[in-house]
Amino acid sequence: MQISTEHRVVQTPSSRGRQLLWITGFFVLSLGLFLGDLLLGSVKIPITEALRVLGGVDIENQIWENILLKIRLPKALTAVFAGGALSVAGLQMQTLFRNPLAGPSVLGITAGASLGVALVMLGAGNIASVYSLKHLGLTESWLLAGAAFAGASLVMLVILAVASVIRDNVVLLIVGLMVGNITISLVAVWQYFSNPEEIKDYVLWTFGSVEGVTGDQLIVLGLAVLVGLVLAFLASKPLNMLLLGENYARSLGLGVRQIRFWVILCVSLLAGSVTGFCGPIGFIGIAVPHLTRALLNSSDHRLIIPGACFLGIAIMLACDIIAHVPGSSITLPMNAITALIGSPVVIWVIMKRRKLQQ
Amino acid sequence: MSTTSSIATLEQLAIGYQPKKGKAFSLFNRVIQEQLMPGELVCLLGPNGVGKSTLLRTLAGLHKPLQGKIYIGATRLDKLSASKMAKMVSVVLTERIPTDNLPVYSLVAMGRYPYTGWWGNLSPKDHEHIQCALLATHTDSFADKTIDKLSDGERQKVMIARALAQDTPLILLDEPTAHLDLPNRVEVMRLLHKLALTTGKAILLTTHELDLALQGADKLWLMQSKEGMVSGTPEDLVLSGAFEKAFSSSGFAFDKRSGRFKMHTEGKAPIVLKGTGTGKYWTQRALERQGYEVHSQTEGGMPLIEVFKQNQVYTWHIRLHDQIHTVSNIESLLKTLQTSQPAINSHASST
Repeated sequence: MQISTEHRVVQTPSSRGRQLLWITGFFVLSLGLFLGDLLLGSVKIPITEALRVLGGVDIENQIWENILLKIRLPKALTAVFAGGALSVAGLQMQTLFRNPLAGPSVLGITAGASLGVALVMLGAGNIASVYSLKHLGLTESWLLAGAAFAGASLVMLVILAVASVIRDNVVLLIVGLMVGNITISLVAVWQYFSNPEEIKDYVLWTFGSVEGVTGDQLIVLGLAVLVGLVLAFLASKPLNMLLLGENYARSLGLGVRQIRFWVILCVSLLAGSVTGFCGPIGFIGIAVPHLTRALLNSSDHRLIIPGACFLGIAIMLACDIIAHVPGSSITLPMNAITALIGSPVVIWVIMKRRKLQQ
Repeated sequence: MSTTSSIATLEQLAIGYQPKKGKAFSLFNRVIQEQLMPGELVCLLGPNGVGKSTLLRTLAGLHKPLQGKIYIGATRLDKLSASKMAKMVSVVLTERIPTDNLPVYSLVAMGRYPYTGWWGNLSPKDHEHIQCALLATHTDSFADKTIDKLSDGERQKVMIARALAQDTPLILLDEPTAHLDLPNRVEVMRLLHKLALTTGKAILLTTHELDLALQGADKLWLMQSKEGMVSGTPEDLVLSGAFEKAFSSSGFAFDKRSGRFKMHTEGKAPIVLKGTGTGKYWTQRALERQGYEVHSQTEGGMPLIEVFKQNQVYTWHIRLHDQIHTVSNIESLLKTLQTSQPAINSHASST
């Protein structure tokens, strides 16, 4: 098995360099947008002052300091966690289900998480609105994250059970949508018995928002997302094997059951915790993986997991900046912005698929 | 028995499906008892639905046998761990890869996954294996293309390269020549035959290409639902009549002398054909397709066709009812015959 060097096949090392450049680009972009998210808003804060505050220096303008540290920094961090988590969760789901339209919001995972949240509120005898979650302490934060995780994994298990029986992608999508609808209607029934004030809060929550997650909640969210991301990244090689389909993956020695369990764990952790604290945020999980694959021109999870993570962070931060309409006091619903950006991507994916299948 | 040890041994094997409730459904009412030796290209033949793919998947460990044992080397298959199994058996399946933007090199590199660590980083030795596989399958020229840009023939060769890179003593292929045009089918078959010969691997493939199997296989496994499995070298199976029996049907018959299948056509009309070489062979084929029964001895009353070849040009003489027609190609030969001496009495009025 010896080959002379001149016969060696070129491995296209140039593409690897280009891909790493893209990932670095995503990272730099998300850094820039993070800063932008801090500076822009109803009140414009000069960059020099903002950097001094972040550096731990006291500045004269106490209002700016408060806005930065108590509102904008937690908000930007939440956007970072949400963007990275939802994108990587969507990527893993698309690989596991071999379905380009899979994503946390499409297959009802976020709906499952909200059901978990609602059940916790009912079980605790606290018929307060989900929106009042924003005032929870550390224990309750964990409880909430746990419930969202449980709800998400429950739906994920149902979808996976259906997927093992039915191979048809379209059927799976419809089942996912229906399971999502069932969980949403369960929440709606609970809503019916709540008072109008709480319903208003709930509706606001369903708009999705990265605001108001502070202190202990931010720590819980950050830890859950970080663990989920690390677990996802560690599963890069098995996920790559799944690109060949389950039978080929098994013939390469992959324990398909184990990797399924692993992915359920990751996705539930990532999508569950984000949904619990930020509400159901759509389209990021489905659109970002496709953009990443197209831009990097790769399916290698060792590249596209970090790629999707940083691109997701950048897009989420951009959405947050747009939602706050810099220079005005208007705040648009986050879900409207993500849908505006995400829907064209989904349409593009479907159009591309059709061309391929002919 | 030769002294070399077998790569795979099938002992008292029964295959089929185990439904959730009720009796197991065996695809086969006889057990299978076979061996795969190093350097052997074995074609698994049989009618549709007899269980060729199921047997292949059972050997690959993707499907559980109903009873019996499979040995890979000296170890029982069900005692092999998934990672050890991946170093013993590689597969080429009929299913399409569900991923688009996967470069050929990366796809073939996945064959090395059983040998790489947690992260899947490739060592120089892994790269060498990948390049060997690419060169052996002549897929090196499009190693940086993504698989959605490949033709069916190219994709099949890439999947074979991936199996080669996995560097296993046994390669199983499920219908590798399906969906390919004739040149590609022949090329894939030649490639596999060469690989078995040069690498000493055992290669087992299912196919519907009886002609190719007869020509390319070192051994045939004939699966029949009633008689069970018959195996042997293609020539032995032809001479013993087993091959003919396995594929006998009302639609066509196997011709032992030419080694090919002939379509039956009802209502044969006798005709005499004289001539030599290639010209005669192809004339006979055309006549048989049209439903004539071709004889070589002149008998009274039969139409006679003679093939002549002069200066690389063929001419045909047709003697019909004491008239001689001369034609310059087979198409007009058939047309002339058709008008005066049809092979099939398709019209009720004709005699």
